[in-house]
Amino acid sequence: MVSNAQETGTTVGFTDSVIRHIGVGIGFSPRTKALIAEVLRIRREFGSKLFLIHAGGHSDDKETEINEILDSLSANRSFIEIVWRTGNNYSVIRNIVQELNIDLLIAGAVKEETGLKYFTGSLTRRLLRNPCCNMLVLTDISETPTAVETIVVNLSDAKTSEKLLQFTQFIANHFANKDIHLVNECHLPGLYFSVSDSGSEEQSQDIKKQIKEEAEERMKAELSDLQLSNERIYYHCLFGKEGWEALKLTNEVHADLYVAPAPKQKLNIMDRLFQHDLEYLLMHMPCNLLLVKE
Amino acid sequence: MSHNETIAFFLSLAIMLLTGKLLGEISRKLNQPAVVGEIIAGILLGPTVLGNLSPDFFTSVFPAKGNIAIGRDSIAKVGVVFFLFVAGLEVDLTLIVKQAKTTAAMSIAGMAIPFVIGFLSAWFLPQYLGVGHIESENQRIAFSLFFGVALSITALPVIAKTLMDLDLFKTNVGTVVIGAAMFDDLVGWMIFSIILGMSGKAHNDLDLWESLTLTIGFSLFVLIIFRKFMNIVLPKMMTNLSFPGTTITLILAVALFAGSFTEFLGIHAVFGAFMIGIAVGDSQHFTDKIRGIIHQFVTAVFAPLFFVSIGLKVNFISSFDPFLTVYVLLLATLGKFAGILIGGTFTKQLNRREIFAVAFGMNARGAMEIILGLIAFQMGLINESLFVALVIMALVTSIFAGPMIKLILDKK
Repeated sequence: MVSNAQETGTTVGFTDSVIRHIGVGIGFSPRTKALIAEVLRIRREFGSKLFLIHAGGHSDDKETEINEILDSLSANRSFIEIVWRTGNNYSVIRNIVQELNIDLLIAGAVKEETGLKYFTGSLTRRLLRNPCCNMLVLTDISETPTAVETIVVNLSDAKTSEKLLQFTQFIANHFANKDIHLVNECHLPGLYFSVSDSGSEEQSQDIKKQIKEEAEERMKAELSDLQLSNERIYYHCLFGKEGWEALKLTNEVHADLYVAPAPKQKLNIMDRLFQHDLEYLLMHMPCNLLLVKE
Repeated sequence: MSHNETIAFFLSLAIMLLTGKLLGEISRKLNQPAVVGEIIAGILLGPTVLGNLSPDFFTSVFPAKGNIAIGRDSIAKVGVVFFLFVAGLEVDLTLIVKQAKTTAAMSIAGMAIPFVIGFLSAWFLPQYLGVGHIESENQRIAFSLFFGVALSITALPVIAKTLMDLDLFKTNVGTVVIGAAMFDDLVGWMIFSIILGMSGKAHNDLDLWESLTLTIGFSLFVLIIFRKFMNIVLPKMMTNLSFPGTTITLILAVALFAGSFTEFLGIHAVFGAFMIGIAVGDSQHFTDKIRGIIHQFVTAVFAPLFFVSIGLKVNFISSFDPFLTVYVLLLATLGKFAGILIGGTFTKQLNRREIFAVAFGMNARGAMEIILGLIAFQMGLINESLFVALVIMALVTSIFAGPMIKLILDKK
């Protein structure tokens, strides 16, 4: 992500209180340097303290390697702490998030995860299915900054809209984006059966129209308090399968970032068999993904 | 079919379709489910009214036996299979799984309490349900399970329409109620198919475990493997074949294949079609356009023929038992209200008034109950008097649902 801030970065009220600590899991893969470069840019924007978490135990070689990466990226070490811990990756990261009060966990992920891999789940996806804090997953990791031009924000859940929009405002104002697509998904089970039984087509169209208008009004009202500048804002009310329709839109508008509420409860194997809305995005992650915890 | 039989056959279909549709439309104008008018059309055309007023015309156009009757029954059978298929299309598995975590109380209590009341009353007091002597333990279990299911099932279209009228359709309350109704339907039809296996005519009767294994095995296969397969195939069909015509033809053909297969297994064809409906309807590629066309096609042509044909089979006057009807109506209402009041209280998302409104909505049994009763009657599981009582219960609960909900919520 490309940032607008100076080297040390400045924070706004929102991030002062919400994103004080950022954590990132590192695994010493060929993409580690690019991931750290991305995270350093994001850290500067949020003005937070950064914890680099490695769940494979400490060794001198690893420490040398990470120091070399940080030096090559000219990282300001006063904001960075490396956490070495041994154990199950998933448990280690979750425990550290809680111990260090991490507000935003960042991880890298591959875009496609299908077949058996999808059902067993990679570490990042396991964390996404049961996030213990806000979580940002980067799919297009690069050492050189790339601009976030298009953001899709899922505002279907009215309860989490405010926090989602605060995040969106921050990202919009700090990462040079152009378009924001606000989405409200509406699945209407039983509508057609009811219409063909005792209602009318007009009634179903009226219901859809009413839902669309109400959703747009709600989104506009929530947005009115925020100060967004230089962005084009689009409102969408999507009818159809929740999650899938948002995924389709995200692909159509070539979004760079999808912002959605974190699942309220842990997603389990049943949610993969009978796909939960978020699972469509976890199977075919179209872009970077930010899950905001309620 | 002879020349004269062919004339009478087409004439009978035309009269059934026109009368059913006409009374169905009147019913809709009165804000009632179309099935109410269609059943009344059958009663008017059947032995109850026309058979009494003009017996000669009745027996020549609507004979109870022979080629015309076979042809008519075959079309009605196709109709009910398609009707259950579209009912399956509306069952949203994702919603049911989501609800299982948050609002299970409403779904489970709304189903379990009427089921237990029905089961126990059929087990201990079968004589009050018009059953004199039960030959075997298997039959006793099947009859008790059936009556439990008959009391627990809910008419999804009625409850969806109710929520629309109340402006609650796309609210948390609406989602909870729709999810609970879908859960009731899914579990209800699964239990019913087990019962059908136990009292099947295709093979020797299956025992409880054989029937259970077949039903669960088939359901798992369709809901897990076939559903995934359909999700892959459907977009390819829509891209490569003429859309929507051929896609709809193939989908309906699959429903008939499944009906044939479940009939072969010894569980009824409707169950196969219902499960295929769930699998197809769950696909994200199954568009509103296809859904709308299939619904219109089935509910405009096949559903009236099927529901009118019910009235042709049964004499609603000679088989009417007032005590039995009131007893069934009371048990059904008591069971559903108890379930919803308890479930609604635990769910904590509805206020007292809304819980009562939802209870009236969920109490409506509609077309599903009638289909369930007819199949049980045809399988010899229940007698004609109990079937008539179930039909009347389904109609009364559906007719009263809308006005009662309006009354409760208008008091606000």
